[in-house]
Amino acid sequence: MLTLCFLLLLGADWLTDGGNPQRTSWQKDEKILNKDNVKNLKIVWKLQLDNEPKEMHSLFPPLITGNIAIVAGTGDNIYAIDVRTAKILWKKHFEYPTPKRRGRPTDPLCPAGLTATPVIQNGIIYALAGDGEIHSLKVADGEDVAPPFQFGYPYGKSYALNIWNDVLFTTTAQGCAGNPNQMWSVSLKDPTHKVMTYNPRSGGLWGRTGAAIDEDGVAWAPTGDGRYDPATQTYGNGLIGAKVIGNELKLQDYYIPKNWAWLQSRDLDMQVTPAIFKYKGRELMVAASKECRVYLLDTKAAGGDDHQTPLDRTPLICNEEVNFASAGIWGGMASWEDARGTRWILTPFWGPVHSDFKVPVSYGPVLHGAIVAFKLEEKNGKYKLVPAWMSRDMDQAEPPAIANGVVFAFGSGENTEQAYPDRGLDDNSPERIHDSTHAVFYALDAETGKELYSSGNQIKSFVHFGGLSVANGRVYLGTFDSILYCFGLEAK
Amino acid sequence: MLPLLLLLLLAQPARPPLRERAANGDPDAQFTLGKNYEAGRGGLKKDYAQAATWYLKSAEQGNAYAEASLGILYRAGKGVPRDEVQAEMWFLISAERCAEGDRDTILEMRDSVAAHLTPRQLAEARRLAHEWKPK
Repeated sequence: MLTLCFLLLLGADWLTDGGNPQRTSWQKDEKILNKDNVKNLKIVWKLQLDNEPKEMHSLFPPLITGNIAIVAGTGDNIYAIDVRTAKILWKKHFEYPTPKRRGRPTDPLCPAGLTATPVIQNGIIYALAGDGEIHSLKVADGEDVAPPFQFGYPYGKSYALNIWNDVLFTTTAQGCAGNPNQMWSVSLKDPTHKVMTYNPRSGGLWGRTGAAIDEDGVAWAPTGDGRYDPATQTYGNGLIGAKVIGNELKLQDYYIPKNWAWLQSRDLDMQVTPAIFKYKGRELMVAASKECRVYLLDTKAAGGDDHQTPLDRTPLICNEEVNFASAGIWGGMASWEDARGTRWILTPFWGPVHSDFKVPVSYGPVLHGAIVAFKLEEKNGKYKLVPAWMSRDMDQAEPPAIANGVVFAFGSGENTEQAYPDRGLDDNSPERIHDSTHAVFYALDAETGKELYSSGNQIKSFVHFGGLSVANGRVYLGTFDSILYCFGLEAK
Repeated sequence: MLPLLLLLLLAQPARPPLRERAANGDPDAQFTLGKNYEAGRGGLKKDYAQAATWYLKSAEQGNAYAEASLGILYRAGKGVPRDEVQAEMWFLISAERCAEGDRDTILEMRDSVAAHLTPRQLAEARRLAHEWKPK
């Protein structure tokens, strides 16, 4: 018990979506959970919050600092929760006049409210309210430490905030409320809070955890369907890297798959937040698309001289039928390094595994989605993503997190259909909510993919745009019904 | 300047609706219409048979995306009988015509189908592809 208290005092944090600015979702400081004890995971507590879901969105991935979980809800709420007692320490609700423009009611793509996971730096929460204003709140009591300032457009559907050298980043997508799809940044040091943007003239930049930031401060984000025409600075279906230089956000580099036109023609856009990591002294990143393959890129020269040649790309993992809505890789990537120095890459995917995809270790047929792990190998300067294992079937596998040799994953249970045989495209929240089931949370052996724990039917609702956070022997997941689940080793 | 621009804009004939362009033989419009039927988009009900019909019209004019999309439908048996020889044939045709950047993708699908074919079936697919001519 003393040891446990000591470890909790030491504390591991999760201060931003994806765990770090590089979006690896790797909790390096986890000391409690391990592959031997996660079979004993339980719901330590669950907490019903009064957040109002908007369309299919509800709670975003919690941020953890010390013993406090900061949870944002799409009803424009921020909650601070004592993770030891599951008591709400404070709650902040952002009030603002109803914006004049909003997305189509019932449109799952454009909820009218807060949509960006906040970020914490130096004990201050930076939260982007649904009206586009940044609020700076003290973790301790939720009080404003600075006046709010405008960053995005009202109801503009901003994605998870990231922060680097006092500069906040976000991305926008789906043109919600008529707003542009682009990368956004603002310096906290700038008293005028000049908003700096870069617009790749593409579809939405809808990687789930926004932009990932490399060691040089370049923010990388995927671009949705669109054309590629460097002459007109049009970078659809790719990955752009932009950096704040002076008081402007400028394009530094980009990667566009050679088959971007095919991706565009079949709506298979790149829309997965990359994960950035060091490997043998070189900074690399992995990205993916709905086409269902993973790309390995160098952050110093993404795609090489022609911006179209990755260090490696995997064969198709899924999406044999070229489905635009319910198959492929969605959300984000993950990466970790084991004690032997092996670099692992993890990707979730939706839908059945591709019949040609070969992986040495798997656990039964995969029809609805799974996690695939690759080992990164290098020989004579050539890099290769080598399939290592594929998890059990998961109902719409979402981006995983890794801690201490354990992969934490979940199937969202979300109905992702956007079109119906009897009436075509009809992407509406009520029907998708009705047809969704419930999330299932899993712990897997990170080296073999073997299931070590499953929450079974304990979670009652589905997850849309939620995600996992891991710190200090606890794993957190918020669901559509605004319940925050805390998994750990000891029951309350 | 602005009135001149407005005048020029008004002078432009309005773009005909997708279906009209497709019916008039525009291969790009035919491909898009096929895709809308396949995905159930653009106000259309999902109808794989209609998707195959419009893809075929477009493919017959040499649209490589429509040709590959036909291959996908034949492989899955959507809107057409499942027929891997036909799928292979369409991927072979598409790979010949597609843009350089898309070739690897089409070849990947072609090879994936070919792996399931007997030598005789493969030869048949190649013969059909070789003899096929756009209309």
